[in-house]
Amino acid sequence: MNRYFLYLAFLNMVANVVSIVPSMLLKDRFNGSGMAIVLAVPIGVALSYIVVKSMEKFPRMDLPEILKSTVPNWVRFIILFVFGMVWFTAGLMILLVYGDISKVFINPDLSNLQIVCFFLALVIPVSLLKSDRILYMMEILFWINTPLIAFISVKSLFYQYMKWDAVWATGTTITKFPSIKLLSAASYIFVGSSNMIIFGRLFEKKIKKRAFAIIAVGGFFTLFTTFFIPIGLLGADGVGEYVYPWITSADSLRIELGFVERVIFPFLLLYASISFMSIIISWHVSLKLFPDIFSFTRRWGKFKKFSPWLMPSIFAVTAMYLGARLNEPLIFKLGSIFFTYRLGAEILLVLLLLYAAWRKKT
Amino acid sequence: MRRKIVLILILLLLFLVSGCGFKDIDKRFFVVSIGVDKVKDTDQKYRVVLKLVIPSSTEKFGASQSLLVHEEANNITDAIRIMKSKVDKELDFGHLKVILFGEELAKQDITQITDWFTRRRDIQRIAWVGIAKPDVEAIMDLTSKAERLPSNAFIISFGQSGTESAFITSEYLFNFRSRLKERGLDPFLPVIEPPPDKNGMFKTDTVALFDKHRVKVILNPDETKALNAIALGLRKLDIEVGKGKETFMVSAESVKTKYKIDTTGNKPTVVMNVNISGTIEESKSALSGSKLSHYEEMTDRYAGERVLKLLKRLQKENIDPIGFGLRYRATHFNNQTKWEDWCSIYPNVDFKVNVHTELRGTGLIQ
Repeated sequence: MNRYFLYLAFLNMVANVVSIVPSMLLKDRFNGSGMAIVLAVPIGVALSYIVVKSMEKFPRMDLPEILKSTVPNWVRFIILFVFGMVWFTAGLMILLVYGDISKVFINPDLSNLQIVCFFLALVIPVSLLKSDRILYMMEILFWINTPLIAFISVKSLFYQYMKWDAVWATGTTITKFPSIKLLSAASYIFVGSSNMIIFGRLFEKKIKKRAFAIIAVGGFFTLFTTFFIPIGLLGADGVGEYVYPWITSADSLRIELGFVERVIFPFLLLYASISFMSIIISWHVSLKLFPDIFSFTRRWGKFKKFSPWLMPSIFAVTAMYLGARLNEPLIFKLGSIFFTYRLGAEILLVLLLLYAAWRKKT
Repeated sequence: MRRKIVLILILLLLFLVSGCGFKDIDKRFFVVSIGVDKVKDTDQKYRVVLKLVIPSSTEKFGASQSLLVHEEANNITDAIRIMKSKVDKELDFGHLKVILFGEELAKQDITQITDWFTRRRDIQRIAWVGIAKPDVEAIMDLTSKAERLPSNAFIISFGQSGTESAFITSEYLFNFRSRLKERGLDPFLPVIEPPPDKNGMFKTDTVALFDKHRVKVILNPDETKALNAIALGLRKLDIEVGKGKETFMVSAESVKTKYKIDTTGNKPTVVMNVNISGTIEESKSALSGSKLSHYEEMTDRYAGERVLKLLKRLQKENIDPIGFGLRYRATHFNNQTKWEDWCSIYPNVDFKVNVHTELRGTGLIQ
């Protein structure tokens, strides 16, 4: 089962390539993004190590069950609500961003609402499946997509038009200390392993230390490529003007003798599947965190009958509303607010799990 | 069971979603090249020319048919909208491969026009960009017996997937745009001219160098070749060495250029090392295999002189298509002032060119 943990971690890393993380980092490329990338690796790996190792103290339990035995009910209510919202927003962000991308690049004649409806019709039923089935599905998608992603990154690293001087010109600003927002955005790519708060229940063996080394190396490589490939292709000064730097970068690649000359088309398809999988995972976790809230007092008992459909409907309506209402700058603004506080939520989770593990020991 | 029915009902709702805006291929006009030029004698700003493909069932050499549509307007968007009303099919820019700017326009200001091309979602970033001389229509009107698809001649010669010529420079749209913005790396575009006689297809042996706004200088073919070899990733070229009777041609298979900016001495110096390897292709007098090292030295000297002359010219015009400025930015850490520093260094910088040639032989004869 160890490998599923790596899939969870890696899926989150690659999914964020098309989301807002690269745009945020690239916008501040001269103001500390380089340092943020370097610092994000130890921070991200340390946090995910603590989360996973504390979860292992409670074999075959997920976060709601752990909290049941450690904290009072009202605290549990608040905590689960907060984390449920965090995971919901994570999925929502990718849904909104990819919805916007599909409107711009795939079918401009469809309205945003229609696109979001299509996405929801796929995402919601799948995220209601059992956890183990989702993991199996993820494994298949992982092995289909990873070779293509590796191909595109390696291709662009050795591309004739890759300007390494531009990369170095940005690299010289590495001594600038990043803002919390940048640090939070950069370390976000490591939070994939935090999905273990739900999926951890399925893991029987302990996660080996080697897995974290792989995550550290993979995470650094991912951050490095997400940040520096657009800079190398679009220029240190020019990259700032693009709304979706990664899609433009993919469009700048040309495979002369490939099946498709323009890389953008396989890239968009690739990221459709990765984005969907990532939304499904986030919302699955979120949907598992919420139901407990409604069973916390007697008064909520009435809702129990509806509860399997209650949360998904709320998710769908929220996504549809935001998808129809938010324009591109607003989506990015929402995203940058989310990423600023995401690191805080992660640290809260770590402290909580440490507390729970400590309570169990004594 | 009830859950399944609900699910099916939800899925059925998807049928209410209207069909996508996809138009059939026979209702589309594919634009393969676009030209933007300045208008003389009117108050309209741009003249936009589109080359539309007329699809044919057989793909034969010389059978390519196309349509030129043009319009004058104050901006490109307007021109395209008006052109849409002039043709019966939907204009599709998805296959736009060649973008041409008129020479007059390029000499005025080019930054504004590239905006439309980079802002539009459906323009390929890997379209080839060039300058049309004397004007856009003269170039876009060129058709050839050897073309199977309209504009294909440009596409395969720019990509060097057809002819591999040391004179042809080529530039993608994304790279041109990024060079327009990058401090320390200036843009360039190939200049395309009509053929001097009626048997040629077109002539593109010069390159136009820009500052950040307009064409600053158009290099002559020899300088173009040198620039192409040292900076623009050309692999194959020929070099004329010697004079009078002792003249021979070196056909280089690889040219590798490295440069660094040395600021340790009292005068900043750009040190450029060029490694050439190749064979001798033609000679006016008999050559001797034992004197190969002498020929190598001669090549070093002649090639070095040419490169040095080019670098000095670029410096005099204060343009930097090779990217010395960007290299300076990449290797210096004083981020606040380094760009201003470089701006004052570049006009006075010294150049040192070391060419190292490795000749594999004298060809098949001595």
